Amino acid sequence: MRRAKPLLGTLVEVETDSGNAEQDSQAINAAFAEIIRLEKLLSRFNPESEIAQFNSLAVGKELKLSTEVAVLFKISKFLHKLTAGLFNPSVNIETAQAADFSKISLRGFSIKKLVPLEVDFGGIGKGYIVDLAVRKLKEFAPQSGLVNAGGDIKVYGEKVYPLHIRSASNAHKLFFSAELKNGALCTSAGYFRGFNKGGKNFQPIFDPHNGTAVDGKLSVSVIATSAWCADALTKITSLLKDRSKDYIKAMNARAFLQSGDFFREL
Amino acid sequence: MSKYSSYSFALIGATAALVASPTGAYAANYLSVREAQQVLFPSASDFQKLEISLSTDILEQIEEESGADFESTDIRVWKAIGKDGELGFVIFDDVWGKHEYITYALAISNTGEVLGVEITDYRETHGMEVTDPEWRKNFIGQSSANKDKVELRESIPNISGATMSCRHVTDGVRRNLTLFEKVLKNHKNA
Repeated sequence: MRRAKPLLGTLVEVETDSGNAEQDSQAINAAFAEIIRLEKLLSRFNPESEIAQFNSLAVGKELKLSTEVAVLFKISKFLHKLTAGLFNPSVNIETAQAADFSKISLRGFSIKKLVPLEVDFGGIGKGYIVDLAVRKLKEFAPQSGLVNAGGDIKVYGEKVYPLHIRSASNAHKLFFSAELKNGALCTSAGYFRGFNKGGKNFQPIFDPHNGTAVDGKLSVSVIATSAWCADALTKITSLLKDRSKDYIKAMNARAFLQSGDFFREL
Repeated sequence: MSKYSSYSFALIGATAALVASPTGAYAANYLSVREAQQVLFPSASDFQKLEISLSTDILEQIEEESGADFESTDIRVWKAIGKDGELGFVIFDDVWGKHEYITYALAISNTGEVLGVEITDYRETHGMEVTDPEWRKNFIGQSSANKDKVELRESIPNISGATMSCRHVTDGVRRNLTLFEKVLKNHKNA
């Protein structure tokens, strides 16, 4: 059974193949409910979310986080360190410049900011939610399944899933086919959300060190064991291209670049 | 899941040549009308189709109030009936975007609360393009062995690409909530 709902600002598909319609239905309902719960928990725009609470927190004050949010901060700190600050979900609201994400103290589930900053997990949040939705889906349907949140895909179990990636130059064409088993595939491209500046298209992915945006014609796909990792690595690879090779290797991932008719594995 | 677990990945024909042979527009069918009704109202035992015809006046009022235009005047509404009476409404609606054509089902309670939204069909083409010879050329040259790949309604399982927007669904839901307030709430089947 495969169902889709408008969630996370996109189309979210959930699929299971237990062979039992009732079990599938229950599993898919549980996965959708988990996504709705996490969307509320992680949305910067929901004033009750822990992210909004953290953003309005005064410097030096402590906030207790739920496990899911604490883990998201932890993996983001890990990626921030791994990429020498290139992966950076923080911003200084006053200057509208990237802030120093390492100036966050996280002990267990207690968090504090050491300098004024706000966070936005747009570069990793969708993948992270996909991972947790898959975990929920698996509880109810352990055999195999899939969650696809607008192109952030994770599959589990013995089933091999056929996948298609859109052409970077024409979103209505499919560029290549692939098969994925027990892993995640995320793609970052400009076709549905680019912006125009000086007659050129760009994607809303910025280098925190110099503020430059990624070329709108580039499409990057990353395969990894978890969707948070694949999601974040598409952003890093979009910025660094070949220079992201070490990070891709460190995360046991694979990255593919597409621009026009040009396609290659990093 | 252990972080050391491995994945397997195989590229099929990942060559530039594939660019010249598009597999056609993407389409996915998720649920039939009946399945969507059951998913949205699992405890319902019956669904009754309502005959709704709206005057131009009321159509315009709904559009103005919701800020969302009707894409079709064919209003497809069912009343969900349970053991203890009416449970609410299921509305099937189409929305068009720049990139997508979405059919979705919306469940509303008797008091006008949204109970759920299910996408039933998604495609990246308007139906009329099927008759457009230029567009049909997309399929010419596909072998009959690949016939299942080129059918318009063929459901290609999983596309990885950047976020498509579901903004139009949100607009449609808003329009249908206005339809509920103005028409369905007090509707009596003739």
